[in-house]
Amino acid sequence: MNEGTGEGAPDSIPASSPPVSGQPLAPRRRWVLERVASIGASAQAAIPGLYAWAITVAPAAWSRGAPLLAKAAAVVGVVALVTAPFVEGAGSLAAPAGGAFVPQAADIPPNARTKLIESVRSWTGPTWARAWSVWGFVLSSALVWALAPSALSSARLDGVRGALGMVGWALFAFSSAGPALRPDPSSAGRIVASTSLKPRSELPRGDGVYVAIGIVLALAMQGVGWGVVVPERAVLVRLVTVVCGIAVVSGTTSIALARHATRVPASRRVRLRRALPWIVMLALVAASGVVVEMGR
Amino acid sequence: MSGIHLAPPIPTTGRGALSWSAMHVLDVLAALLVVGAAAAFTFGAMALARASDVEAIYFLVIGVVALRAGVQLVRPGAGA
Repeated sequence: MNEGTGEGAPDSIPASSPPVSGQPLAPRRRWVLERVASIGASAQAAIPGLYAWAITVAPAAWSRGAPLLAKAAAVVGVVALVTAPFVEGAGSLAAPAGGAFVPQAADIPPNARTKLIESVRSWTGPTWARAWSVWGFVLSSALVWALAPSALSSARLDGVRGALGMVGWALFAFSSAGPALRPDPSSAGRIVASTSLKPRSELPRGDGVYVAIGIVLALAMQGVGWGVVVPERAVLVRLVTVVCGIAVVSGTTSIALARHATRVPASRRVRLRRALPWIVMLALVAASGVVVEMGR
Repeated sequence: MSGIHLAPPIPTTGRGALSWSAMHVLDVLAALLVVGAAAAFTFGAMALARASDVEAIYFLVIGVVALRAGVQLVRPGAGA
């Protein structure tokens, strides 16, 4: 998500030339990234963080039987998310170039306690905002879940809501770890102009269809068994469907790759002979099932 | 999938034409077996969700065998 790769492309490259690595981004995309970067890293993380809080933390804190301390911790989490952009803005004058988080403590010997304290004192606004946003939100949420553990049980938490909450937490982690940053003016000198890279081989036509069919089949299996009440059986069904989905994707991929392998005229007989035991076994198992079903 | 080397498409005319059509039939059969395996897996998972364990095992075995047959059918190499 780091923006700014398009800064300072050489002027000697004509507009009609083929795509060149390091050319400026499209104006629209560049404008969007600059707007996102201008709101600051903490503000970017606050949006998915608030979403995750509303889905996974607030229902637990305000669930029946949750102590008052859980509600207070949940409020602290929201406060951490909302106030972090202000903390970041308060120290923006002393922020490093690009607003990036620079771990100054990494350059300090581990036993030099005084230097470490000095390093903490030298933290700028973005660094404090990042620590306050991430640790304040995460620790307060963990405290809420620890105080109200029954709110996260499978009987009380809806599956779709839980999955959406996971997505929210993943987006919060992603935006906290790699936010869109302001362009670095010094990046212009690091860009090496060259022609676009060409693949060594083209992807054979039709392979994508095979893989797509396999993925669709595998995804279709994942829709089975979400209404199972017993937790152990529900986990077993999920495990079985995932394993079966992986097997189907692997099978379709093997078939797609085999289409391009070297084939010899006599291979048809060999292949039939090789697959015959499995086909016979399949017929036997299917026939036995039909017989057992008719005998009932 | 080790041992598979990507090669240009097989010839559609000349000496390899007959085997090419036959191999297309095998490809279609293999694809049908894989789709059938997926259906069997789905039925097996549904039976497992209903707590019909014997039925689930039956369908899962059907799926494994069908998938294995489909992959074996298209494995390259005359002597493999």
